[in-house]
Amino acid sequence: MDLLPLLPQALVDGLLLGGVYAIVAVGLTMTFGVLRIVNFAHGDFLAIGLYLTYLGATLLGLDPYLSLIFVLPLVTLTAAFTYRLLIAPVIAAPEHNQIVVTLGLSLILQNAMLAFFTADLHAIPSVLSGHIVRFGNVFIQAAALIASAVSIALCLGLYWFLRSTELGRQIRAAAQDRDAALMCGVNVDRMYLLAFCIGVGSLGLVAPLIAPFNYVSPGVGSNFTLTAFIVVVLGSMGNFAGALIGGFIIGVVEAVGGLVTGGSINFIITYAIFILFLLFKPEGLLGRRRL
Amino acid sequence: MRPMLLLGLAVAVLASVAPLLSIYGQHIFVLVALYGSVALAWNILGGMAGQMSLGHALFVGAGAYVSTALYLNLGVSPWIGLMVAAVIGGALGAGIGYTVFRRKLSGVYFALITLAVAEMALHIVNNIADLGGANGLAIPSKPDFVGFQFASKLGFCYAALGVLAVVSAVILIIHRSRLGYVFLAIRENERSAAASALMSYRERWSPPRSAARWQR
Repeated sequence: MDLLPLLPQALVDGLLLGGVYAIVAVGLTMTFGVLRIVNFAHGDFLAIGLYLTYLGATLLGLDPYLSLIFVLPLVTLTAAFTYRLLIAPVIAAPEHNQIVVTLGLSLILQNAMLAFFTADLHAIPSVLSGHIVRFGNVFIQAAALIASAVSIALCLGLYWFLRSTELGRQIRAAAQDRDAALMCGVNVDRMYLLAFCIGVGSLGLVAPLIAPFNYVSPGVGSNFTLTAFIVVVLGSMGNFAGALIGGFIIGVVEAVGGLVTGGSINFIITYAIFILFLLFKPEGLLGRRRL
Repeated sequence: MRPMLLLGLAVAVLASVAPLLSIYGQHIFVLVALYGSVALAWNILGGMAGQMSLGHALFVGAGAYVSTALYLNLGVSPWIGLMVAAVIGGALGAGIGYTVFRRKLSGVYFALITLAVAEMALHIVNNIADLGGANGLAIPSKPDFVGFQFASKLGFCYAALGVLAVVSAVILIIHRSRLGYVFLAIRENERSAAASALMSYRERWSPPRSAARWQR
């Protein structure tokens, strides 16, 4: 079969997928860049957001885009409680302990969702699902286009927030040097809380946006967590532009790789890239850590 | 030698308790012994040497696939497959450990790379039809001592207990050896350990090898 005519479609699909990966990775890079905590439960908060969207659709009959009104605050609130109860106590603990805490949280969340919602896959219908935009031979899902656009806007917005606002300046100070920031009168604990809420809470924004073209299941989060890690390492931990670029790269690699190889061999390519980067360029594409 | 005596005593007690359990109790017994063995093997690298590996599923999986594939395709008894699996698992651990520690990856990066290697191996095996692809391999269930299939649950109890005993003994030996102290030194402070000429990375790539000794 001649694959060339399908290539533009695969490229576009990859870019749209990459936009979704980027938006998930941006939150992860935020929590890592500021708190220096590797959150293995990151994707599970996305799953919580998706289930909230699902509940909104089944119980209240809300379109995913409308349920944004309550999903975003609820996920952010969950993030705040998680920070207070689980993350703050281990913020100064050795890396090991932090990994065990977030990994344990991930297991608890996944199994709680399994207990409440069973292992069934659900699709969440929206007015936009099935809505397709056509450019020549390339077909684009409208919902995916919106998610990608928001992803880019969110990356730029967060970058602007950290660069240009007083609050962002304080967050960066807390990220650079905890003790020095404390001495300058920055409420480091509150900055950490804020960064964690933004990083994880952004998933509350992502969930309703990807709901129209993504399935919901208790395990959906762990796929996103690992991909988000790959994206974050590729684009340098703590770097927003890097997360965006890394997301697009991984998205395109998966889509084009899937077209060329078939099966799940494209994932092997993704992991191989990740492993090579970890081995030879662990600081990522954009070099030194920057926030 | 006291710890070894205690270990022998514990194994003897467990072995005499096993026949008294119900079938369900024996099933739990097997699971406890196997999970215990895996945890102990992980502890060499994670606990003693202080390196957080999230990829030990790879070694358990590799061991299981090696012995099962040998049995199903070549008719090699799992009793021999067990040794082959340990050697191959060890070689895999040595290869990964050597590559990773030479690049001086530790902490989060070590956790991530072990996780990635295990996930990649999962996808690779899923795409190999000879290894059963995503369906996996199943051993026909008929009583056959050479084939590592026992007529009663009790046989599996003793097999699992044997694995647990061997892994425990290996760990006791490592713990008391020079290697064990080197692991502890690396955990406490990698730089001082290296400064005391303990050859940090060379010592560190041995733990995955011992950890891989576990099979099925």
